[in-house]
Amino acid sequence: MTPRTLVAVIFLAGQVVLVVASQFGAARWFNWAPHSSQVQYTIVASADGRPLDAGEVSRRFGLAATGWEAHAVRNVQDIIVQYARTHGRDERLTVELHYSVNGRPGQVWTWPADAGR
Amino acid sequence: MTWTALNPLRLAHPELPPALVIAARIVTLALILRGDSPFRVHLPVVGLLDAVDPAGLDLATRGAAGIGYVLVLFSPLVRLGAGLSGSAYLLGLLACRPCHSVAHTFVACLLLVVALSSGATGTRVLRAQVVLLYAGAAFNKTFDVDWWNGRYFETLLIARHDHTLYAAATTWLPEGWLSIAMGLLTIVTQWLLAACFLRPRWTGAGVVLAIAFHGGMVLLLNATFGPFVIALIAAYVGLTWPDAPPARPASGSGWAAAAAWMATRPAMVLLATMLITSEAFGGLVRNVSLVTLSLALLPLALRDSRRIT
Repeated sequence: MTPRTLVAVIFLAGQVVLVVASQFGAARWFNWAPHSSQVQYTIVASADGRPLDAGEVSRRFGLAATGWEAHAVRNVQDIIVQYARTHGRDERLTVELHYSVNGRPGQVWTWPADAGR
Repeated sequence: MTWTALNPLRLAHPELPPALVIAARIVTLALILRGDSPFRVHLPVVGLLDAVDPAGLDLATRGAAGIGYVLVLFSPLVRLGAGLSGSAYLLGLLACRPCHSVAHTFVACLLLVVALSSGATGTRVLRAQVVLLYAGAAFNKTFDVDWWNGRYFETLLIARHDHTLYAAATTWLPEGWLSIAMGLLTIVTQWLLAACFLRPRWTGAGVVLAIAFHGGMVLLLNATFGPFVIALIAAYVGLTWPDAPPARPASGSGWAAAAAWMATRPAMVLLATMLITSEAFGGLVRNVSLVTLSLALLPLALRDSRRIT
C-alpha cells in the first residue's frame, strides 16, 4: 500500500468514525446527515444588558436571527456557546433560543443557564 | 511538456483514469462559475484556527483554491490541483462552524479523493466516498424517528415550504400516509444507492436511481442545494466514464449509441456544466437544466459497466 493510498484509507475511515460517533450525541457535524431535521428557531440575545437587533445577532453567531436549521438544534446551541465562550466572553451575553424540531411544540434553551444540557 | 498537456479537454493522464480527471474538472468549473470560494474564518470548528490571522487565512485558502482550479483545468497536475482546492474548501469548513454545509463538504471530499487516487486505485476511492455519502445519510435517517413517523416531510413541505402540490396530494390519501411514505422511501432509496454504488456492476442502476431521487427533490423543492447536485453529477461521471473513448457510431446505428458516444465527449459535458452553472439562467431553468444534464448522462451510465474499477 502506497502512502497516498494509506492516507485515502485513513480519510475514508475517519468519515465512518464521525458517522457512527454522531449517533451518540445530539449534534450533527461532518457526519453525512444532509437535511436531517427541520428546526425552526429564533435567537433573542442581549449583550451587557442591551438587546441585540437581528443584524447584531447575525454578525455574532453567523446565523440569521430567525430561520431554519437543517441539521440539528444542538448545532445552533454549539455555535451560541462557542461565541459566548470566546469572542463574546467579555460582553455578558444572555441568549434565548426559541425552537421547534420537526413541528414539535416549541421549546426554549437559554445561555448561560442551559449550557451543557 | 507540450501545449496539448494544457488542453482542458484532454483527459489522458499518467497517473489517473480519465474518469477522475473529468470529474475534477466538472466540479472545478462549476465552483468557478458559481462564484464559490472557501468559507471565511468565523467561530472555527478547530479552536486553533481562532488564533490565526483571519485575513491571512482567508487569503491562503482562496489563493490555494484558485491555484488548484488552474492546475485541475489547464495542467497535467490534476492531483496537486484537486488536493490544493479540496484542502482549501475543507479548511474553510473547519474555519467556520456556522457555515457547515454538507454540499461543500462533499465538494471538498470529491476533490480530495481525486488527489488521493492513483492508477492502482482507479476509481475505487471515489466509489468508496460516494458509498459513504449515501450510507451515512441513510444511517442517520434510520435512527431518527421523525423520518419514520412523517414529521420530517410534513414540516419540510408544509411548515417550511408551504408546498401546494404536496398539500393537494395529501388530501387524496389518509392523513399522514404521504409524509410517512416519503420518509420510508428516502431511507430505502439511500440504502439502495449505497448498495448499488458499492458494486461496479450495479453502478448504472445506482445512477438511474440517483437521478430519479435527486432530480425529484430538485424539482419538488426548486433547489440544487448549493454545489451539491453538480458535485453528485461529477461523481457519477467519475464512476461511469470509459477508460478508452468508444468508437464513433456508424450512421444509422441508433440514437442510443449516438447519445452514449456524445455523452463521452469532454467538450460536451464541460460545455453543459458551464451553461447550467453560469448566471445565464434563473433558478427554475437552471434546476431543470441540471436534471436534464443528469438525464443526458443516462446513456453513459447504462452502457456496459463491467470494466474493473
